[in-house]
Amino acid sequence: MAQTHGTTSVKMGIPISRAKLGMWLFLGTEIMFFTAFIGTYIVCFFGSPGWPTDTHQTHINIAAGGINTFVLILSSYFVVVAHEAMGLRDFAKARKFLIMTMVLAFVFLGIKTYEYKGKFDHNILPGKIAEDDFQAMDNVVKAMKTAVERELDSLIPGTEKPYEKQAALNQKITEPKAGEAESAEQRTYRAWQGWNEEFNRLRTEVSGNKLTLKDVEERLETGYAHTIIVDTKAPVLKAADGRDLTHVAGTLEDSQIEAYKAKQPFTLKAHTGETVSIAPDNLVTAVIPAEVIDLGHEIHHPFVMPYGNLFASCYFLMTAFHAIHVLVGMTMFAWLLMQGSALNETWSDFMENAGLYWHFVDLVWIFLFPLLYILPGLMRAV
Amino acid sequence: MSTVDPAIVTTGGHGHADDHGHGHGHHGSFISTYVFSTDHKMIGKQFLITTLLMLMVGGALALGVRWQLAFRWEAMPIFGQLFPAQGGQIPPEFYTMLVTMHASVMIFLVIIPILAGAFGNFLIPLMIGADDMAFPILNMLSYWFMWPAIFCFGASFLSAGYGAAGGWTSYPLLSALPEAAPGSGTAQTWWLFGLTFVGFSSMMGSINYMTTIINMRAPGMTLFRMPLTIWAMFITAILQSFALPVLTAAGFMLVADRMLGTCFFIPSGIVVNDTDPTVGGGQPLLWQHLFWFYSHPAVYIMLLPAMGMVSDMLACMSRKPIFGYKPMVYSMAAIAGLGFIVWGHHMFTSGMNPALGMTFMVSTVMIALPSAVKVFNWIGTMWGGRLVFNTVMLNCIAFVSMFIVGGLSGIFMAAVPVDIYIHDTYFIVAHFHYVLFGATLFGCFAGIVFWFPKMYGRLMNEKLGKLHFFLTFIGFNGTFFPMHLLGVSGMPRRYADPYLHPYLEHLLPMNQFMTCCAILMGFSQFILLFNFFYSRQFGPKCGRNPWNANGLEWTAPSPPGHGNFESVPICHRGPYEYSDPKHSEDFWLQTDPPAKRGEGPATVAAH
Amino acid sequence: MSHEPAAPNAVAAHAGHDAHPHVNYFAIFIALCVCTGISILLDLFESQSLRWVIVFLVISVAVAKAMFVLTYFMHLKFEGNWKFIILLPTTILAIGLMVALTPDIALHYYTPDVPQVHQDAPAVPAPAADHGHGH
Repeated sequence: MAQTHGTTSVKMGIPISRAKLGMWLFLGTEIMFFTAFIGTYIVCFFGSPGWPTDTHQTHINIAAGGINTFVLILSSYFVVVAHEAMGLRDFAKARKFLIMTMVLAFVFLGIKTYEYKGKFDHNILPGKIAEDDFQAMDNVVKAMKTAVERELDSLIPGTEKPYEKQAALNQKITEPKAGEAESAEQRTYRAWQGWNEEFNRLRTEVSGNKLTLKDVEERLETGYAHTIIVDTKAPVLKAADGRDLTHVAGTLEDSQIEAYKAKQPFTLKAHTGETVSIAPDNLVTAVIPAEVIDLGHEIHHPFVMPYGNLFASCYFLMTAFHAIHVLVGMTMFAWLLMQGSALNETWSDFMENAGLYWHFVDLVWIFLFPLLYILPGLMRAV
Repeated sequence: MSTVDPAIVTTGGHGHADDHGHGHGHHGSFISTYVFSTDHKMIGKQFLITTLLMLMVGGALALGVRWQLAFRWEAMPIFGQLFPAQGGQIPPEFYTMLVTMHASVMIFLVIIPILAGAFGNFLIPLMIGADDMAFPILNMLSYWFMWPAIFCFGASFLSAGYGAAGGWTSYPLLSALPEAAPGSGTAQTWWLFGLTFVGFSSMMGSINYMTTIINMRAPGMTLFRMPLTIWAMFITAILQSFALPVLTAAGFMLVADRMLGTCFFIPSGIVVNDTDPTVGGGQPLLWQHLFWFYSHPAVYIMLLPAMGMVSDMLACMSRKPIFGYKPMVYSMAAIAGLGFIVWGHHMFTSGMNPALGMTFMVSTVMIALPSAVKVFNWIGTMWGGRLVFNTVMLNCIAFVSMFIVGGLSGIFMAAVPVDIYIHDTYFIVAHFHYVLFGATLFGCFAGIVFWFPKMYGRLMNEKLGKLHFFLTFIGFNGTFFPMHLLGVSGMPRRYADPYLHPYLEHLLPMNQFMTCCAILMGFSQFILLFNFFYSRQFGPKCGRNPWNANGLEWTAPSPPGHGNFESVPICHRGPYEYSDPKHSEDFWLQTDPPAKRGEGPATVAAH
Repeated sequence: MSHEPAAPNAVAAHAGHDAHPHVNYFAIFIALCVCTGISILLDLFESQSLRWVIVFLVISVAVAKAMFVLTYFMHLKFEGNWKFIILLPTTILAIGLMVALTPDIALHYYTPDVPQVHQDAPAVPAPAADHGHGH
């Protein structure tokens, strides 16, 4: 094999650097990667009659999505400017625009976090969304269970099991001798017991098919939200006849609330079954509808969203993988910026490839935005 | 094809000294040479040895399966002792684990990495005249991503429930609901992580191969002068890079279904083992589509490189140009293209839309055409040649003949009505073992012997090689041919004890015969391992070109140094110029300059 | 490390790059912003009869934006024909996958709910009592 050393040849293959060729091939595979997600979303969207399209329910924020689109487009623009500046050997300018790109990337992730937070706050999470009335009621029961147990934990700290804590709590209530006034703590315990009873009642009724979702909703709206809770800071609750009602945990109906607000006397049906009339004057400092153990308020209003879980699955997985790609792109730019003033033309290829990657990330969002934010609104049921 | 000499432009002046000067005399530390090597040859050898070891693991798992089918519920040797079991007996879940992990190990840790990882890495730069892969570090990572995969699969074994047992296809709900079966818990999660790591490894490899083949060919190495091995690797890399991301994405969805509460593949209202009814509205069929969108092309990923290598070896050992070079290339491309649109034939009985069934049936039957072209061309290559019946040739002929058997049985199940009858029976098992073992592994055995001199500078022992071949061939056919009969008799796959069904009781003796053959076949692989490691140390040394072959790799030293070639090879002709009357020898290296001025060398595939 | 000394080549290749006609990137940016605005405006436009037209328009706008980014930001306008070899099969496969999923998932001929109900049955969730919800 005698080769003359003085010969070179036409380069075989195509006239781009192998790094760039590799990047483009990689982007080809990335297209297929997102195709699996986007394809899944599209076919599930059309294949699920009653897909959630109401943005109030799904907490899809078109403004946030639109701003994010703008942010990514602007960052893409900055990247091409930075790349162009690298080509013109203006590395200071390139760095400046790269920093602005990084800032925009953080803005994008910030807005994304804000959107995620909105969904977390409203429990728009895969696996958590009720798709029929029963699941919705079940969710209320579960939420109440969580709240009651958490409250119990705060009253009786420790690592004991809930039933042990409950026994300890009962113990504490029965301790005071006859004739002595209950302590503030005991009254709080009693209030918790009231809640626990409410929870058990709800659980029994729901699992016994005795309630409809509407019943539960009403109870949440009118009942639990205004349950009389003893305020430990002002532990005096007296009925109109002067009886001490501090231990009574009951619920107020709408008419009673009206009366209470208007400072009119009204009667109250307590848990114990007795009906007492209450003079508003005595209640002013005593009834704190939503402060001490405000369980009713924190339980999410039950909602039914058919295919909500599939929607949330698609939304979170698609946007999360897009966000991961944003992070990878940011890492590449950070690597460039870390070169500091050593940034020179040898980084030009790296810059170009990082730019290609970033534009691809932008490209994915260009499709995610209409598919996730605009299409559902357009396809709203007739 | 044109007979004009390649456009080689002499510009004179600067040479390639700086391109290659760094190559020789490069001595790194042990770690950088043997462990974290970026040299494609070392990575190829690492892949080869790893996959050969995994082959033994996968084989042991298969023997466990065979043991249970022949001697049901009798104390299983080794496995019975290794894993907590009662008196060496295995529970049914253990059997399904064996089936699952045998397939997973063989597919993801043996066949795919031995073809693309071992042979692809070793051969691509050598055969196209490059000094290394385009991205050597990426190449190293692609090997080292195999190890997390191996550990994840290993962790799956050690998890509760003996290991993933949902089949290598891991269909939901079995794989999506942790409560579904003993192996559906953490074992399945580990399995999915392992799959993801294999995916990353393959992905890095295939991007590397494509870039290398496109842009790093030696001067004169036009596309249609590339050996068929390179074409096959190239097409395989394309298949892999476009199909695999879909499976990776689907794998992430399944992991999310298991761990994050999503419901892509979980319909609502499923109650398993007294759990709450599932919420969701996802579709198990979606997984099957996404899975087979990768895994059917993967079948060709597991076959095409072996086809390419066998084409090279057959031409060399027949001392004849390959019959129909361009049809070979086009048929591989057609197999790849059609390979993307036939995945539904795995799902004929899944409740898939019948309209799709018809479409997939037609496309599947069509894929028989390019496959038949290849078989005819191999036979045409051998026809009238001066065949050299050494180990390489024997394995290659086994490849072709076993591929014919496996290919023909494939046509049966391509038809929906037939498939409905034989789906999930041993007929299917026979079919894919004839293709994956009968074709691919025999091709790999041939390739190991053929390129062993280039890897280690020594020849493998011919007698041991032939002994290994004959024992494997007999054991293979004894094991897998009767499976056709079992399948037609209706014996289903994946049953720990099929003889509970009275209509299958009479099949027990046949299964015992098959198990004996399987044990023979399994243990004869030790001959290969012994031959491999023995010849590596003590085999007869050989020169650059022990087979008198044409390819560029045979012009490099054996074994090639860092940087492969002493100087940039220049390619003057195709790789199959055997027994050319215009040339004095019966082979004509691709780098030999044309004989006389004005007399262009005949090219391959002029017909 | 067997990196071919690629740096000088790369720089040389790069010099060639800058030779391609200057693109007014800012104009492209403005065009992309306008497109985004159009999609948001289309969302506000509610019409049942024109629904599919609007969907088509929204997707078209997205494709147009993608083409802007690909052509100019990613310099595909100035690349050789290899771009088609990489992007065409990918695009065909991407669309093909969705098309192939459609008959089963998007137009499935049975409901995915358990127990399976025939398509003619009302799409609303079955009555609560049927859900076997009894824990």
